[in-house]
Amino acid sequence: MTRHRRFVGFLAVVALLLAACGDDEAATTTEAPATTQAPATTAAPATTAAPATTAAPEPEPEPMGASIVIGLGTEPGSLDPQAVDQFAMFTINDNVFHKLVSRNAAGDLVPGAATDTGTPIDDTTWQYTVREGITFHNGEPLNADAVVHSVLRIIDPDYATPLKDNLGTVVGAEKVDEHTVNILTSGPDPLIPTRMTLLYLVPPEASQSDDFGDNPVGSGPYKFVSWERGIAVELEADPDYPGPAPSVSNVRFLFIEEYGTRLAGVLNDEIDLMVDLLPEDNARVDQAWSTPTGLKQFIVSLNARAGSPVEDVRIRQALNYAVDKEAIAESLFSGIGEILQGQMLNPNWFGFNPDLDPFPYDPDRARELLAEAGAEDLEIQLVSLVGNSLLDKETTEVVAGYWAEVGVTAEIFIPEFSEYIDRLIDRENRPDAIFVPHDNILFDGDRTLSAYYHSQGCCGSMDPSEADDWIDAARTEIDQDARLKLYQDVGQAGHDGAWYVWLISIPNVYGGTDRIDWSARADGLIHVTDITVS
Amino acid sequence: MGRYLLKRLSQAVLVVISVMVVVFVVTRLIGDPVAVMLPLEATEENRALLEAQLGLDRPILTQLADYVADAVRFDLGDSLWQRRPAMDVVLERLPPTLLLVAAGFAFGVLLGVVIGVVSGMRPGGWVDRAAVTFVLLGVSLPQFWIGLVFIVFFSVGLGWFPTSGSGGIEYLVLPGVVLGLPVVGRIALVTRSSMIDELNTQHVKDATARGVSRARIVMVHAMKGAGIATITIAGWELIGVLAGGAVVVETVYAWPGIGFTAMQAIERHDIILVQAVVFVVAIMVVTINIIVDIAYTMLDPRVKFDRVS
Repeated sequence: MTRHRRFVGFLAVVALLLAACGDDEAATTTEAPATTQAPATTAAPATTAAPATTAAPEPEPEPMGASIVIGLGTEPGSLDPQAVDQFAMFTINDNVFHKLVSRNAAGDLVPGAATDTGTPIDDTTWQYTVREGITFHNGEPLNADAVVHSVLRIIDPDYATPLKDNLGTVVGAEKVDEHTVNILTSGPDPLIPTRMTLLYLVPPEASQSDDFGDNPVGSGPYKFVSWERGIAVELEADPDYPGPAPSVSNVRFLFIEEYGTRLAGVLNDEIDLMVDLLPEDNARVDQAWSTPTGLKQFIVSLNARAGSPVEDVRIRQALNYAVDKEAIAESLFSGIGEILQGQMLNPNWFGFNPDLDPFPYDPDRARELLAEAGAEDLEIQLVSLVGNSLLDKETTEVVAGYWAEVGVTAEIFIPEFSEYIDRLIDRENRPDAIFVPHDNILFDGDRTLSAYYHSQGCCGSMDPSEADDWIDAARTEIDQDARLKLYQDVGQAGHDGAWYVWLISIPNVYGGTDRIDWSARADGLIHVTDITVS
Repeated sequence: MGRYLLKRLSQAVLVVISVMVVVFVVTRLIGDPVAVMLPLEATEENRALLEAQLGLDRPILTQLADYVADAVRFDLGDSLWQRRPAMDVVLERLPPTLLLVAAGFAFGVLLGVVIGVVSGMRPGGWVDRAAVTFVLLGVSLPQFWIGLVFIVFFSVGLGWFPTSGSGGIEYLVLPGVVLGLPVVGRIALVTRSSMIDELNTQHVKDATARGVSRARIVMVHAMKGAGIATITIAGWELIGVLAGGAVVVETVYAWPGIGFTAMQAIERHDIILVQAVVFVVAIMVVTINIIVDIAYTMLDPRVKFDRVS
């Protein structure tokens, strides 16, 4: 009898253990409607499964257009377009919100919600006229009040946002009339039109709600439908948006961090378009796209200051000549990288100097220069990082390998990311050499050159020079031709001083199925209106 | 039993508090959250400003004191990444994880016990050898790799299941199986060896001599003894699945649970969210431990409540 009782006890415990899980499962289904579980079960099969089996007319009622799925690598923390500096947030919200100034597919500034890209009316004021007839999806009008509200909200010190930095000199905004608004700056700022491309306009009423980050209300061609946290954001075409209806009426942005899984989604036709395709997988997907120019600049900063082991310009030139950038672009990056033109700016960034050339690969010249400088057995430290950008550590290793071939020993040091940042921005103790993946969503030399070509910039490793003055002057130079000249001179100075080893520029690469027709934009964003479904 | 439970519960609270303090210290070491929130070139002023806005500039002991005081009220602060209460994020992600863990664990235990019993009945036979090879594979192959291989094979190749995501039962199969595979292996191996031991005990031999059927001997006499070992290992496996396997499998399958969330939080240096995940997982692990200990005492009268520590 005792044995029987114990066996029953065993069964009871097994049941208990399973029930513990079972209960939680039960809890899932009961509590779920309040959270994310329920929408997942109902909505997911309908939309994600659909693309895989389409071709035939879909069973569910589709008013117009097609549904597509876009696979993103990361999930934004918030969909409040003014709250977080995360590319996934921009990618989604650029379809939902207006900005006063936008960019076209080639990356040029074009009017957005405003009638033009802005007019400076005095040293501290840029004036914009808001196009009439734009309304937010909740019915609030997009007018001067909405612009003023949007500006004041983002610069409010109590509203902690890393995006504030993009507004630079902006100190306020004032309504002139119903559709005219003045953007007020602390001084002359030629970058205001560029800065306005990063200011999403939010509705004054709805944006005051605590859950605006979960339920964003914009005025763009697509309106927010739902956000299943951890899974997907869904948007649908706004039927009231002016102009012809887009080919895609419904889009789901899926969040799949694991690269292999995202790629499998495309291979299995569950995902129509994915971001961050690795170059080696280009041939595996139906279609691959890349942005027309690179968005991430790979460079190695050299410490050009007096007293550094690479203070002699000949050594820095040698370190440039020693590296075969074409081989890096072709082999390591399967041909997707573009060689930087002896400067940090890209051809489509404001301030690019077309007269500069990359240092050719010439190891003999490098050895000669090192010999002239008496630095045949040079040993330096090369700080780098890992997992931040595509093949960042590998690129660093390849560079060190090229340097080794001309007799320069680089000891690679890869600290934890925060320490890497500390080293990058430490103005007192500059690393001998530090690998940097630089991007600049303003597409303007101002940010890049201020940070890297100015001796007082966060990351500049050179002694003060007249380039500092040019950069300072350009910051308040409203005349764009004069400003361009200043930046080109700065670029020349940097090239002459070989302040950096300019490597390559990496575009964003996408993969997708042959169901869609699309081309990548210069800014790396995905405008769903550009996608047509066959 | 009541006194025992009380004692265990107070120990559990101590354990959770210690874990929280350790996590607080460790998360301060995973890196500066401000560094990943701002562009590389952000100025020191901007960094300092954001740090102040997030309350990360306060003295570390003040932060710890506030944190413990708030944690007692289940308030772990706002996630830096999601800008809303970290507890909300974790509780929202908990149901999918529990569902996945339940599925993976049930699969692992059931298949593991079956394989273990069958193998243990005829150790050394071809069934046994095949089974041991199979379960060893399940234990040794990295889940991350198996997860991707399954996607390539079953989703992309055969088209049987979706590659990732969550929703209906079809989304649960691959991650559940991958999560349960190592469990199958370890449960099977433990059950198998206890089975072999049990089948060699005197009472089983007596029963055989009495003419009790083979099936009855295996199912009743031997399994009862083997059960204790299996329960112990199952408890550990559940903890392993919850605290370890779920992170890997959820990441591979984009399953919106707390494991995936932990991964995302760590990547973004969201120390507040990491703390909240660990807090909830710690509570669950401690609870499972208590349940396993109680299960022991019920199964084996030689273990007394007051003697378990």
